Amino acid sequence: MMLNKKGLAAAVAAGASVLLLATGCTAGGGEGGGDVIKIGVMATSEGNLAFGMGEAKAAIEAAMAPYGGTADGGEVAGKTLEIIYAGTDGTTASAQTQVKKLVENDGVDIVFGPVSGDEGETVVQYALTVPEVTFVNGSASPVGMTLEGAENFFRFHGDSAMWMGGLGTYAVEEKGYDSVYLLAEDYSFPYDNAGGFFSEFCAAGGSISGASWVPVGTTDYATIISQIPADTDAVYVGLGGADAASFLSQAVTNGVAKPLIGGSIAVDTTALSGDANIASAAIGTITGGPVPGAGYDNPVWAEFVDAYLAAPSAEFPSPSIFSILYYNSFESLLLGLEAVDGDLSDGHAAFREALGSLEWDSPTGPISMDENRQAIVDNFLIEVAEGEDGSLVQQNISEATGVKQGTTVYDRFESCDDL
Amino acid sequence: MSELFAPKRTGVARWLPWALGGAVILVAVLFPFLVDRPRFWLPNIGVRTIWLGIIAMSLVFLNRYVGLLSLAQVTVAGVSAYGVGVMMVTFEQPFVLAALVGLVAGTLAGFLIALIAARTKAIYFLMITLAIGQVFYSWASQAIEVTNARRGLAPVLKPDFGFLNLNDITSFYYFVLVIGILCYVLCRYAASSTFGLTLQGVRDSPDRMRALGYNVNAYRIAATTFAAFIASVGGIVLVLDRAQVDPDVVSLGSTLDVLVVAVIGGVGSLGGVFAGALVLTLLSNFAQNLTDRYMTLTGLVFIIVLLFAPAGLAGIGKQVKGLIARRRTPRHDAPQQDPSADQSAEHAITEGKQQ
Amino acid sequence: MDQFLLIALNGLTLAGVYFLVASGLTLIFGLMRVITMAHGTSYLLGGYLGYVIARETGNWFLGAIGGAILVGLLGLLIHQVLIRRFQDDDMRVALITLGVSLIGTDLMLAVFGGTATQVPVPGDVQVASVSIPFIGPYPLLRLLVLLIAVVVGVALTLFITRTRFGSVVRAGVDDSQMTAATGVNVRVVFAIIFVLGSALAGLAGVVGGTLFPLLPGQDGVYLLYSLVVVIVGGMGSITGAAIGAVLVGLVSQFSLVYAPTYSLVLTFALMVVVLAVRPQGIMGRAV
Repeated sequence: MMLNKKGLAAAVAAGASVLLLATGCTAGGGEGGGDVIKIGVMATSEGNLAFGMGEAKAAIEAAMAPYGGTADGGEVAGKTLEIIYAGTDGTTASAQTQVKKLVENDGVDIVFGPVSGDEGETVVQYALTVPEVTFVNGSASPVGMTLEGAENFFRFHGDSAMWMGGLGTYAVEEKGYDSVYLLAEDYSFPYDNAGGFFSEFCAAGGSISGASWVPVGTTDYATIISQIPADTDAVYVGLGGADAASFLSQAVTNGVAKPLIGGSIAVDTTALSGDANIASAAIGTITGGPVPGAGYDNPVWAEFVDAYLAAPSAEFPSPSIFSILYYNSFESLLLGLEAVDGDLSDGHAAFREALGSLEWDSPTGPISMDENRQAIVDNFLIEVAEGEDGSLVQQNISEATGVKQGTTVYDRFESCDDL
Repeated sequence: MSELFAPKRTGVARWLPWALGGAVILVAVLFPFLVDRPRFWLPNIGVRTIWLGIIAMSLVFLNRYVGLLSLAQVTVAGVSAYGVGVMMVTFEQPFVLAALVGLVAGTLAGFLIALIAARTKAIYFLMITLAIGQVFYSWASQAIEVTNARRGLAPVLKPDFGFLNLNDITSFYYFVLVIGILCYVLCRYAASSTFGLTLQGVRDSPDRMRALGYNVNAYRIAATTFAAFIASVGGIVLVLDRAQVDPDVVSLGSTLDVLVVAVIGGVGSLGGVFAGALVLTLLSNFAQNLTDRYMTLTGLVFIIVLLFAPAGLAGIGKQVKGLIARRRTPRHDAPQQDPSADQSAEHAITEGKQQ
Repeated sequence: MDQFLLIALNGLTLAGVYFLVASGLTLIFGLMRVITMAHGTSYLLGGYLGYVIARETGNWFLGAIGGAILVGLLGLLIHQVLIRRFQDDDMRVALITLGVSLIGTDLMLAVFGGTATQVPVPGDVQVASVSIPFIGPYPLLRLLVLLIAVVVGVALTLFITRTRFGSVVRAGVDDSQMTAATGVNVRVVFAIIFVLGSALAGLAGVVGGTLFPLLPGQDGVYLLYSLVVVIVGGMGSITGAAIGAVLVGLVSQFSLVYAPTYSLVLTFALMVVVLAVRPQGIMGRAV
């Protein structure tokens, strides 16, 4: 016991030195006076989405470039913007830690982010407890986030159900799919994403021939593939990341002959750029999402791509979903600040009013806002095709314009009747 | 064990530990007035340090007095947190009832884990508790009817008792601080009671204890259940602090967090865990300012502690003292100087191992 | 019936991968009585190295051998620097190797990124299938994985039971101090076994990484699966690892069909059931 206490002394000393070190690192701050606006950016810097932070910075650089600013800030609407970054690992625990740190320790006026859906739902809950701070979402897409009634929370892109906007009708009318098998990961993003597709698909006369909700992290799909009924027209693949890549390569190995309909993250560029031989399964797959495919004809888009490629933090040959959504959202934030000349007085009242009624032509089409501070946007329909050099490319088919948010937060479902 | 061989305490050695303990508590009590931004420091550093410490303390208790290293303490805390979450969010019950349900659920979970795992050897216990923790994690991620799957249960609102409103962050901090101190006192009390002494006997020579008529398994199960109760208390503080409960609470990452806290603080010291928790909390809040490779840093610190200071931060004082003693005295005298110093530091992990 | 057989065969081929990972773990434990928590890290690193080599040389076998050898060498380094001193302290070895795995995960994320890759095989091997009675066409690739697992399992068993080195290993398992007294350098034997165990994990990474994706997080997954396999099968037994792998593989495939939501839970529940009945595992010696 004596020894323990003495040990504690050493512990306290060590703790205190770390404490001094840590506080030294965060010196500065304060409320910043009237001419400085502090923006705290949340993005993923660890874990499998670790590239989120680089993409967020590239997006902010692209948006700040016309003002002569950088990722760390600049002069906008007569005010000095100071941009502070907080990295998370994509989990709710680190999102909670970091958002509190931004608001309480760094004293930011505006929180911008986060990346993942789990984080998003947590940040909205936190936003409800700090009404004096304005939150602009980064790329988190759960449907429920803008239905929580947080008056200080704004989302300038579609939710995960809206990312399927137009695809259900297209599958029935253009592709002639009548019955589709549902294979998806068992968590909230695929619920919303698949819900968005199937609610439209069923309304257009389609039916669900069976459903497999598999746990996230399922990598062996051989058995699931054998469950797909023979009379199914197509398979909806609501998987993402490793699970999607795994399914695609096993679809080749196990000889899946059915055409595929991809969820919004099933056949994105990260899945297609891998070395696995997935061409025969992936080609012809249709999908929907907020990222336009090759061949999208919009001068604002071309400008954005150039601005992205010129950004010092950009790491990819073309903008990823995160840089696009972060750019649209950050540009919206800047436009809101400009509209009120950077006036954040009266609890951000005028600023929020401006954000809530914002309308502008973004790189991905016109953005306007609904009464829940949720954007009304264009959504893209995409087909995977083989490029000239044999690589897989996402070809733009068409846009669904003015996609609005529904009010259903989806759950697990097995048939059209459940929706 | 070390107390038995400790040399007679001199004057300084007698009052110093009490003074230090008092100083730590004094700093903890004054903490809200010492920091520039209490709204950040109290929840992000203070409260989090305490609940991490409480959960790690239950791990240390098991290791030190039973000789079992459990990786399921976070799971137990998570069961307790889910108990509170289900009662408050799903059934809209008041906090006090929910907390009781959480405590019972967590303690019961610890009892069940003990039934499965207590018959096995220490190294098995480590692996089995790790695997059981992952079973619960995958269940919590999937069981939409109970845990609301990945979305989790929110919001878990802090209660207002009238005389004490936990929504006030300072009140909440003191509330949690008192709980932390009570848990520490309870662990010390349990360790020094007949029960605790018997446990150490069971740890050191189970066969002899069995021959003396003790039911060795029953003692292990009882101790694991007691540790589960402590972890459950930590789980309740956790759920109040986070205002929600989701599978991240019981993920492999959280399990490793608590293990890192226990090892850095010292797996042989009940009080050291709070130092370990403070280090980890500060790292997770501020390490980004220093490095991109936070996990590598944590892993390196973890290994260095295990290699060179196995008794953790709490053992550093001892080790330094041992070193100085060795320098000062002629070589042949060294062993008599303070036999417990080096030895117990070196064997902080093994010391608890079952025979 | 066909369906039943197909699922069973899927379970068996999956078990091939589980066995390859777990055999190294059980081998190390059998002789040294320590558990290396960095085993999943060895799996993932082996997969990544195999991926790089196979991509650069276009030869899958070079990738497999290279991955195994390099991970084996890393195992030697870890053993000499971190583990040898604490040979008799299984708890500390478990914790130190856990620290190694924390660092390994982070560094692999930094080097190989967070997106999934797979070890490339020639396109016609990937799509080839074999006709099997009652089941119909079945992917050749999965059968090859099963074949590799069987070959490795038989080779290991022969190595342990028929060679002189194997008899030293068996003697060391029974009583390492006594073996040392007979003039055998047990330290060298320990080091060789640790290298072999690590190399097996590396090989498993290349084989598993051919069927399934490689990315951060898989290290933890395969560590857990190999722990479950050896706990179920009995620590230290190669036969036990084979039995455990088959059980885990079958349970995970059948539950994916009949209870997909809880398939992971059921896989782990298997372990709990075995422990309740037989704490030392199916082939384990009494504790």
